[in-house]
Amino acid sequence: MIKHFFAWGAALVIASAAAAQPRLNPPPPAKAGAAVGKAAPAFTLTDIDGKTHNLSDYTGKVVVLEWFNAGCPWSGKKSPRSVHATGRVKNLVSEAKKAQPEIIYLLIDSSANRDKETVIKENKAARDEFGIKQPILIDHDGKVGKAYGAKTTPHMFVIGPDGKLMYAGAFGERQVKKGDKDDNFVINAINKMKAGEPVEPAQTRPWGCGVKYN
Amino acid sequence: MIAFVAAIMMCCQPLADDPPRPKVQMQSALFSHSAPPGGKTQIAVRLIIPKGWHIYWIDPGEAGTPTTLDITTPPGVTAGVPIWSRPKRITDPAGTLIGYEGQALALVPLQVSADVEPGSILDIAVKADWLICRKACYLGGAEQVERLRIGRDSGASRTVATWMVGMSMPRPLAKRPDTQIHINDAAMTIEGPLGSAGQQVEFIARHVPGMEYGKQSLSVNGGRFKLVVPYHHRRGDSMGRPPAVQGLLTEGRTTADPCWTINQTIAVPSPHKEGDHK
Repeated sequence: MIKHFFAWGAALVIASAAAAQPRLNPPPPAKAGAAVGKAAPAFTLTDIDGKTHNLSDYTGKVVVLEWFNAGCPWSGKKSPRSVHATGRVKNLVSEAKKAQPEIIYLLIDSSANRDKETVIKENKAARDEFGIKQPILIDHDGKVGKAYGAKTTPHMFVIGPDGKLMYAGAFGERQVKKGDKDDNFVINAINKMKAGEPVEPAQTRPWGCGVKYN
Repeated sequence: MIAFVAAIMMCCQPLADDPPRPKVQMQSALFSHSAPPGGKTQIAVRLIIPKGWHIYWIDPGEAGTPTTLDITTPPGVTAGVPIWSRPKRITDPAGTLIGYEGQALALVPLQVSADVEPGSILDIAVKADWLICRKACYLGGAEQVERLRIGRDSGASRTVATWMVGMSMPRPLAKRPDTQIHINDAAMTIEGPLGSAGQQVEFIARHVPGMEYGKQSLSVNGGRFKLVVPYHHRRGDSMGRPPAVQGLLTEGRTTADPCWTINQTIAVPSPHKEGDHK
């Protein structure tokens, strides 16, 4: 059905071009990035302490990737909405470890709007301020971010023990009112995987600051 | 003392390449300063955005977060759903965004109950929150209060009329003359006469969980247009929401050109349908 859908879409495009009629300006962007259900793109990145991380090192474990930016008020900047400043990430990691004690949680910063040294310095400051225990990987040329189709900070990806991408999208609901349950889509995916159930939702619309690729 | 002042200056100075924090100016005004018991009016909210920066529409597109309005009314007045002025597509390294540069305008309908005492003055509180971005992003917000007098309708405010100049406020597509919309299980087709804004006709989608759009195609023939927007519904990602096509049909290139709201529920596909995400 999906193949049929896109083949049909392509046919429409060809047909409209053949008719030499005015085209949309600008056209909607083509979908890019990693596909849920397919192998997660391989990467090798260095963290802010100089340690190298290969995705292949973690085969057999559940891996969570969180796109991160120390200057974004939804991500690593001190703000009442920040997933780090409000403790939402700490809760996520704690819940995730109940289901998958050996889970690997990596933060990736693809920001290129500042020089690499400044990005590392700001990430170290954010790590100290919020007590971030997870490695923060630097993707200054944005290649890994673009391979995954990371759009926002935060933008979450869950990779299964077999290396397949199982979830891509939002951290959870954008805003959680005091006293309400934090419906976290990452925890949901991890719990569904553990129970052997299909991950639903497997794709959601991420929210947050745009990844600063330049 | 000098060392203390120097330390304060060092700690509080932005980094050399840190852009100065942008200031969005919020203004609000009632469409009419007084309304009778049982009558209607609107509150207008205008956001003036510094040059080079943008804020987001109710659907921010591929990145960002929506601008939100929270209207608090006293007993006797109820606020409806805000109608936002036409946004524009903004190209960003993270993807295509939908938002505003320069200014944004929202109109919020207000309904006065029939039993409100004439002569009373009621406070309508407006709170707006936004994410403003350029090379960096900042959260922002503002609050204001407008006073509505209950009495004879005072007529349209000149202030709001001035704000609306050059802004396009969406109207329901059903009000566009001689225009038809067809929805099947794979595409939405809209056909109608071209308007004065020319041959640019486009659909700006509002996100509904589970809905994914393909590339839209436009054809023009004999002064009429046909816009086809293919879509796919992933039931597993819908979070229990029914499939629907929501968004704006826009004409022309500028945010002053006409736009029309689309909100069409789609017949739920049968559970065994091939291609649905399990």
